[in-house]
Amino acid sequence: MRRGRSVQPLLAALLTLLAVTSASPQSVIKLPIVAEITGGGASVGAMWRDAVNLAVEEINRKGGILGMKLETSVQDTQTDPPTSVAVMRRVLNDKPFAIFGTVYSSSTVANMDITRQAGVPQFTGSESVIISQKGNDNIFLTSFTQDTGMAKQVRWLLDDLKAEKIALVWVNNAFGKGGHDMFVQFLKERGKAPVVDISTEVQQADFTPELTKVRASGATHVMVYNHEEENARFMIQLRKMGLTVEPVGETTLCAQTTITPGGAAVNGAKCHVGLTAGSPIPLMVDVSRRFQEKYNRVPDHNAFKGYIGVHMLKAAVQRVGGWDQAKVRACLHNNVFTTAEEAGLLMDLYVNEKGSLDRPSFIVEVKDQKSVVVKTVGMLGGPYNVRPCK
Amino acid sequence: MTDFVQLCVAGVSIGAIYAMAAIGFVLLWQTSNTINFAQGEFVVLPAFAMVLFFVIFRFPFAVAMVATVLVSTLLLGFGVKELLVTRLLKMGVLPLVIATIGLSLLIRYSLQQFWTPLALPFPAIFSRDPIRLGTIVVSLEELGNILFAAATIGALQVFITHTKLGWAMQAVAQNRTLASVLGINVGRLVTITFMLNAALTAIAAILIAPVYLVKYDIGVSLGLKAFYAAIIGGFNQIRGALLGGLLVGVVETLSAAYISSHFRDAFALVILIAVLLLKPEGIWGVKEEWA
Repeated sequence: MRRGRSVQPLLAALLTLLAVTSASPQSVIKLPIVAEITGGGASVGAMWRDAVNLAVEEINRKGGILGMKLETSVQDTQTDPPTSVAVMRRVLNDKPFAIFGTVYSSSTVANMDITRQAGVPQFTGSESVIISQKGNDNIFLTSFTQDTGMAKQVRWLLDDLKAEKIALVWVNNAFGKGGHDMFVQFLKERGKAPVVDISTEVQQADFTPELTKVRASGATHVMVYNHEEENARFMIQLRKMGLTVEPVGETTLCAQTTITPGGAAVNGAKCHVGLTAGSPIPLMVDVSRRFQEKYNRVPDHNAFKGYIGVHMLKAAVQRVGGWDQAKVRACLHNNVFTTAEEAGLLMDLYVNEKGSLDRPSFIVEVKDQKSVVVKTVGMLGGPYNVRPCK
Repeated sequence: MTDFVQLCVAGVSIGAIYAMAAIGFVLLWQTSNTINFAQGEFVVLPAFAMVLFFVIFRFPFAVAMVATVLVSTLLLGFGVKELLVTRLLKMGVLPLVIATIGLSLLIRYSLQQFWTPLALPFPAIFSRDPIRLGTIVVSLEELGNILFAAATIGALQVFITHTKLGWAMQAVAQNRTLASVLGINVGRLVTITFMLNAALTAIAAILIAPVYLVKYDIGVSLGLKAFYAAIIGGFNQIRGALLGGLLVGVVETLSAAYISSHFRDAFALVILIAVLLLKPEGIWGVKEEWA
């Protein structure tokens, strides 16, 4: 009898506890990383993933955002667009606040409608102009798209380098095609065209045929616009064939993930880049150091994009003053975010109505297997105004 | 004409490496009726071993090469034969084929997960300086690859045709039962063949990794090309595999140059289909008689 009466209060207390904990608000914010962990884009996806994780760790160490801790998970798209769609659907079942990825433009083009339908803001490392042309107000790029990048690239090639005959070698996917189309368009506006226009394949190993065409064209400069590993192989073979054409690129040619496998063959390449570990900007130097300490390798532009993406979200949430997806999305359009309010952005940036960025960039030259900044290039447009979001 | 010659040299250079991997397929098929779908990864793993010995342990280059070939022979030759092939061969060809597919996935994703997904640089055996022969420019590396591969295949041919062990391997390839009755230790011969294949793929790795770079997934396309090169040339003849490898290398280079990069693989596959339809034993293959 006595035993039966003592169990009831305990049971009541247990039930109350359960009711209270189940009614408690979620204490973590889910930010899954959907990226190319295997397949041809593994090197790119790994950089993105590691930088996002670094940013999240640092933010959590300082107390999170508006008192909430962040939680990541990693989902592999296998660098395959249909797989990225399936992975995205699965990830959305978990009701994340925002998603980081994908990086390959072909995958982002395939999966970004899924996140738009779910109303979950998506921060991507993709750069293809095709993405910003789709009218999707849910996608936010962490780098400027190819229309901005190529505009600056062509201006530098023609005005600074005085390039006369330019061969164009580009990878045949959404990233390469977007860059190709923008490059050719901006050249045409200046009354020029590539002397030879050659497309290549993802994971291509041998570039002898393509380099033979470049040599036959009499080009003075070759604009190399493949992915990083392919760029490394291209440069090795360019040097083997003894070509005297000057290699130039936009971002990927001078990335660390090109330089590491390509070695001394990449020396002498010159590029316009949005982000680089060789940047003299103190905030970027510091992030690069922390990344190297944690992961024992030099970050490339994909790592910086991932890091900046997390801080773009942080800046927007702080400006909104709450975790509201619709308000965060609205805040991120047509707005300037500065390093004064959020140091993790590394540089002041402007996000336009298409979710693409404008921000300062760099001209680099690869010397002794390192990207060395030779010039800083200002924003393409502006001045831009800061818009409050509360 | 200049470009054509240069492209042919490049095609033969890469084709020679396909041929080495294709010969491995042929050797294994002839002596043990094994199709090794991990052949591509048998090239990748020694490439990583070379990085380990030369870059990380800092062995001298020649020592690192020898160590790579020895380790490959032991692990991928003796190890795979004793741990996988011996147990599964008695169950027939299909279980072993599936097991080799599993082995290729295991090797590939273990390297990606536990080493790195990034491409690594690989030291070149030969200088990459270009050589100018009149208007033709070829690289020392391409010529070196051709000569090195030719020497290796030549040595293999001499071994098979002029040594007792080689004659025993030929006997097993022709008729395993009769070879066994004649006192040839078939099991030991198969082990030696696996070890020989592993040594060949290790040498192929050392030649191709400076071009392909060292990455966990380079074996996928390499293994596939070596497989259909062996079929094109003749799956039961070493000289067939050699021809197939060279043909695939040259055809893909010329088609990329004169038609489009996108058709690089297509023409070699068209040749494969034509061979299967018109001469299924391969261009230099011999029709096999089944008892």
